[in-house]
Amino acid sequence: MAFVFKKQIFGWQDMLRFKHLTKKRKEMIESASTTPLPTTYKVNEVAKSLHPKLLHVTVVSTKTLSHDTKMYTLNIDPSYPEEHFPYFRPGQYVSVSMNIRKNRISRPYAIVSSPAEALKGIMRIAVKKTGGIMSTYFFNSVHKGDKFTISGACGNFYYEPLRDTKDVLFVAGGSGITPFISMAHDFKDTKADVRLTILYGSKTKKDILFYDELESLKSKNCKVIHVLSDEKLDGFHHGFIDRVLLERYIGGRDVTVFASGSENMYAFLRKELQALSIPDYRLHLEANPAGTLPETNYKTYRAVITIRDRKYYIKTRSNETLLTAMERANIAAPNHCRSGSCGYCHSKLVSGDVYIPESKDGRRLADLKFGYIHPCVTYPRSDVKLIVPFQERK
Amino acid sequence: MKNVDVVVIGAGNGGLVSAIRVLQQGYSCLVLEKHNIPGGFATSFKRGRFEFEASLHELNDFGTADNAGDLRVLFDELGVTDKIDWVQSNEAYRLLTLDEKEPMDVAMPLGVNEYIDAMVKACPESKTSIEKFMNLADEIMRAQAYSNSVNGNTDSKYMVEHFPNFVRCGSYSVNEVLEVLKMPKKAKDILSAYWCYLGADLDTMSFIHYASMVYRYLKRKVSIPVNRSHEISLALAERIMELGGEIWYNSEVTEIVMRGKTVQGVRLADGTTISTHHIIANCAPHVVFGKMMKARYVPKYQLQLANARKFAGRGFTVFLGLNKSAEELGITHHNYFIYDTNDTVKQYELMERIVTNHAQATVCLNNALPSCSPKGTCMLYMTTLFTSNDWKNVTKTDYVKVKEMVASNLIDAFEKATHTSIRPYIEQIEIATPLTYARYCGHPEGVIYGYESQYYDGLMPRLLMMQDDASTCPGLRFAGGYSMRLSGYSSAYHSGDIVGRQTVGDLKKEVQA
Repeated sequence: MAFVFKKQIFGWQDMLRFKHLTKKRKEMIESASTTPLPTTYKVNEVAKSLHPKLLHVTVVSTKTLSHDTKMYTLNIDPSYPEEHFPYFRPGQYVSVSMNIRKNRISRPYAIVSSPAEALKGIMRIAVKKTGGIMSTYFFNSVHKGDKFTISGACGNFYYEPLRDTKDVLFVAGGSGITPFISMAHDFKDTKADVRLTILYGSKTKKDILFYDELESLKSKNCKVIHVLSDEKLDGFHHGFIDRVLLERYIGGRDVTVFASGSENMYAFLRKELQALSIPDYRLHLEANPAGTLPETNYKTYRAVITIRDRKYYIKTRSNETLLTAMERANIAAPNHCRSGSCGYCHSKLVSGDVYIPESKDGRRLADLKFGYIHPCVTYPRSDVKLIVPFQERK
Repeated sequence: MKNVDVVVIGAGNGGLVSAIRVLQQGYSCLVLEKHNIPGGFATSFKRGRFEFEASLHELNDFGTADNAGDLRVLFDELGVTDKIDWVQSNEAYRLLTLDEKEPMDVAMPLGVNEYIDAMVKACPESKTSIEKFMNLADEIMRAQAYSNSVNGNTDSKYMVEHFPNFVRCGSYSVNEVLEVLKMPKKAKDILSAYWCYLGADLDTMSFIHYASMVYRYLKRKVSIPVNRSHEISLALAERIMELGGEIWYNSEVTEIVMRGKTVQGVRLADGTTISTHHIIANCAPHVVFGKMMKARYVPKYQLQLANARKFAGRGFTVFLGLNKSAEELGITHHNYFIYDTNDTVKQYELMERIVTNHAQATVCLNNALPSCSPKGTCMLYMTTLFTSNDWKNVTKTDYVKVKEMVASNLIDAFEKATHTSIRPYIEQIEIATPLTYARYCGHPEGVIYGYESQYYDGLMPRLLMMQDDASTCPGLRFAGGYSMRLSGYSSAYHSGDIVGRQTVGDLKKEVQA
């Protein structure tokens, strides 16, 4: 079925045109401007302002919220006038980094303040004293005027109108209330089309955080219900956030549930929601960082960590994550969420056995196939060799 | 100071392949990547119980062991084919148009003969023209194979003798050629469906480029990595390490260090410098010559070349995890093209504005790979392009609202075109905008398709002037979507192959000199 393609009257004209393709290109290049190319672009700059990599902050005030929780109000360090807080998604966290006894330590903290406050140059975080290295340091040693760095806002724990229902329930346990303060402010500030109920469980009245701020958020579209487990008090529910209470406040409605609290609270809540026929996919959980495993007799192993062309020989413990081991050895390693979900610490496990709790295993299919892990949720079960991405020490 | 034969800037598809090519010839190679994982756009991410593919719809020109396309041959040579689990699909696309005045709903199969049959069924008077199209496309593919076999140094007499139609149609746009073939409008519309994969309207798009792509789809069918494109990227990274190469992540190159006209090395964001005389840049020339290289070293030719070019489409994708199966939802196909209009020129114009664009290439991976999400669920990715820089008008405080609106419009358009209901079943959603692409891969304006294919800057002129472009800046070559093979997965991998081998050639010449 041979045919001759011919567009012009004479076939050679088509061929000549082909020959001229490069001539035309050369002409276009020769006649083009010699103006220097832009160093950046508006879209890239807006993206950068929404997702800064690193911010230098200074503590402008501290406030005691309860016997074990303090709030820290941050501004951008005036020495870095080009930086500003991002207009983040309420519910997100920042990873705080600071030098504690010479070691570079990072921990994620939910942002308490609203995106609107960020535009005014303010960010608030709350720290509960847990006995961990950073919370202890915060509590004892971080004062007004102190400086440290934070990451941009991270995480996917936020209200998503295309996914979530207009009826929204926040279930908070203790200091888990922090991201909900930000989210509730934002619903109010943006006049979101959302009917919000906050069920907030605390041990006793004096353990309630942000009581006044929550009172100020109350409206026809925002109910706040306090539940006290260890105290009976007029005007407060007593007990746990169980199916009876859930039924009373959200029963019969198509509702999206956001929960922030302990793993025990999550397990209990999941069961109670099932009893009310609320499907599991309607439940969004704030991730908790992987902690120390309750092993009474932990074992010690060795690890060889390769970062770029440097090798580090360190000790690890079976009850601590590989990320913690690197922090202990003062190796700068990338991390944000510390709960196996953000993927930022993605590293290649060259050899060795490890344990990764199923609930924190955020590895992708190909990661499993090619032996990549997230050191932030990975506990050694033997000596290991690891290739870890570079992290600048800032 | 660390010293290597070759530095690759960017561990994207082109960069990874080029590194393997360099290492296979025994030269040392360091890949520097600003992100913490390899692949660039070729990656995946998890939300809840879904693992979403970040960008790959399907690979064309891969094929099977006994019907191997050029890409499979390349992957065999690289030593990565068997590191990846593959699944094949026989489905080309279902094409739908939202414009009620020119309705379109046709499903097309892969396979050259199958496609012709389906076309004739949809448009009986198209038989001769579609056969001629395939005839031309086949000659184009043979001409390209010849060109590759002589490393682009083609003999024009040989070309005219053996591939006369290739030369005759080689300077025309798709629409110009289809007009000569007297293809009926409906058949033209159906055949045009793939245009959004290349992103230039078909008055502009080079026929050779388009026909070659379509033909490679039809002839070799499509392949998909079972574990998303992250699997390909990790397989390539694995191969680099096996060959003794290194990839440094979170290691952004901020400066190309020059002395006179020669490359001396690169400087990283943290101040580390690497010494080398050969760089393969898997990123935009705009970024290299606008940011990485000090203005006084930038060759005038490169400045003019960059200024002469037009950025191609800026990307936007909605990723949906749905809590019903594709079957329950009535999502019958793997690959949907849904357009506002069948006219690619008009559609291109509609894509200039955020508010007027509903065009989408939408993939339901479950219909090619049922096991890709848990039973009773499915995933849907809707991708569109913006053909102007309209997103520059979006402020940081409006950003979330705008992206939700665009996503919502795409979902509405899909539901309307396919007569399905998906909105109530959204369990997970993620939205990537031009800002997302700008942030992750550093491309100007969130461009995902490199420089747009133009008459003077299409596949043929770029290939024919490959050496001219490189010769003005010795020691620096470009791979990836901005380079001589233009954008797309297959093209990017092939560009890495070409540039990797050319760089090896440069190194060998250096030794001889």
